[in-house]
Amino acid sequence: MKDSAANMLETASVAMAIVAAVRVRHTLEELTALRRCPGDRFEPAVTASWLKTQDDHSMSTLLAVSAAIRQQGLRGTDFARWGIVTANRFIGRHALLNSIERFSQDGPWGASLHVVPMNSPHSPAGALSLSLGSRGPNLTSGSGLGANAEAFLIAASLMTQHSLPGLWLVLTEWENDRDESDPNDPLRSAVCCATALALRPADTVHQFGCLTVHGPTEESLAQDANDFQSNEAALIDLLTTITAWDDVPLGVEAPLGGGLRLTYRRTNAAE
Amino acid sequence: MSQECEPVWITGVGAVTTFGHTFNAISDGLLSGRSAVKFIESFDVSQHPSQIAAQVTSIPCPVGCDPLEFSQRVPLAQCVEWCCRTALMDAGLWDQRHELRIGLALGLAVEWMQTWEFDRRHGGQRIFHPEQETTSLSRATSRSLGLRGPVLSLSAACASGNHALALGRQWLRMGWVDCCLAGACDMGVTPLSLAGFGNLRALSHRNDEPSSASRPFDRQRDGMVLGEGGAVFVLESERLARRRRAVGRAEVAGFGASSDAFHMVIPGSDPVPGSNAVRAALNDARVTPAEIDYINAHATSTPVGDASETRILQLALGDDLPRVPISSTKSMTGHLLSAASAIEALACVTALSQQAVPATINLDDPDPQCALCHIPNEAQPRRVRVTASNSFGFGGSNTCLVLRAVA
Repeated sequence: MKDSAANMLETASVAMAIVAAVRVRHTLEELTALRRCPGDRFEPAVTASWLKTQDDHSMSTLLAVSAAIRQQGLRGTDFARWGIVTANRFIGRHALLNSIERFSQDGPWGASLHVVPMNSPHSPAGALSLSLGSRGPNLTSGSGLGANAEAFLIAASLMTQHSLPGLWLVLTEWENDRDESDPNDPLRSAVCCATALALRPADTVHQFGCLTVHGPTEESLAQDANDFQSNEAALIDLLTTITAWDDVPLGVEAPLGGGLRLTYRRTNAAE
Repeated sequence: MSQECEPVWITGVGAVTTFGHTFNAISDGLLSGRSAVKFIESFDVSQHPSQIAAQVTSIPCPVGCDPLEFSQRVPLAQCVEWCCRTALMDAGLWDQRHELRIGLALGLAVEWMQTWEFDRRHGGQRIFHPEQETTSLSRATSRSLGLRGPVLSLSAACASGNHALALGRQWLRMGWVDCCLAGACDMGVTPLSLAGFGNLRALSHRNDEPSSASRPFDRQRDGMVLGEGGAVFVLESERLARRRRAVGRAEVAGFGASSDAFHMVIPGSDPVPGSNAVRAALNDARVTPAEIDYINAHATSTPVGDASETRILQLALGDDLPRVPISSTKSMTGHLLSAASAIEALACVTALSQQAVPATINLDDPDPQCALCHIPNEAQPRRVRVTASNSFGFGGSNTCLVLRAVA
């Protein structure tokens, strides 16, 4: 099968407008306090009883989206048909550690019944879907290394596959994770970070940036070393550029693997 | 025909279940009406409320892998390697894999949970040092197979496999790959998983009758039974498949997805979101409800879920529903969790290739709330041209995948 070259000439690119972008950071102490007393931090409002069993990644996901909604005046937007894609790096590790310990002490009854529904990779996307009343597709990329790049691939695929009016893309990870040298309080310095992007079709009028997933070319395939660790570093730089609202007239680029590339350029939002 | 609308075929299958490690063995198992559910013997279950599962006890080492190294891998990693390699070989693409842009889209919902639990049970410390994790299972597999296309793993809980197949099809249509490995794997019968689901009160307690425990749609159902395994498919465009005279097992004809936005675990009482996913899949495949020849239900044997799915199908198919044969192969394989929809796609491929629909076994007394055209206890020969497979996952994910016979 030697017609890869012919195929590559027909590869599609997927452009998406960015209508909101926010990065938030919360310590574990802050997340715990918000669980007990959410106040007005969540858009739409949620109750403490509902937040009680939500994973820290889910909390961060909801807080980032809430901040994005407020930032860009998206309150009142109908999210009913929006899709949701998340990437939640190593979600569930803390809950699993606790569950393993309780299981060893108390047997099967000690294993948390929340780990599967609430502390698993699908959980933040499901929680966000519930919170916003979004009935479009919701799913999550793999929760390990490379998850961020995978999330962009999924987002681009879903936008075109389902002709979505919009999509929330939320990436979470621990900036400072457990410190095993402090056995009494290993999570003392833990900080959970979340980046939320509200994406809409490329022809959306009110946008401040454009993300494009470019299909592979001969050149990009040849250059693609599939070194996803350096790809992740480039992607983090790109995300930082977006959330810092930096003006980048020439655009910023990050490889996504398989010859695909993600580019970002700032656009002039129409008033 | 534009690339966007080009039909996508399944030309290879690699799979593992308790019925075996080949498509033919698994198909025979599905049509046999046998239960794969047994008492769990691989770890102490004496304190667990549910002590039964359809557990895969061993996975053969694929040709080309080092047997000792393979045996030391986490079971999930063994499953993925077996399914991907054998799928490529089944499609006749093994020797060409370096020449093509082959993508990899895998439903691996709990890769890290299972990896860390396995490692911890064997005295390891990996869970304490995530910073030392340098790759993921999907990427390691892509590298070991020498693939050049994009790679991802995804999770939509039980709907993961359907999403992976849909993504693979989309990548082909966008020209991002020449062909794509797409599917899902889950080796979820572990002490913690069994305990977690047991504490959720989701599992059957028929420990003294394992083979009768998984009984979707039956009035006496009392919960689901966990299962293990995976299925990975080779997807390629019809045009290229015909050019190389590949055998097409089925066309990935349509896909629909939605979310309940109701509850993280319990399906919503409103059938509209689920029926939207079914209708979207049918519209995508350009088939009417009257043209469906078989539905593989999600039906996990839980009291709430099976009735909920019935309402969804009643709304989606209307007057055509009573004549469409429907079965839940979870009655035989158990619930393979994130691999469920992949195995159930395989069941649909079985129906298309064998012109017979698998049964729902243990269906002795159908629940009146699940009034459907059941296939109770024995497979039935049927003309099958179009199948639909539902999968509904935690987090409210609803999906439907339509497969069509290859002309």
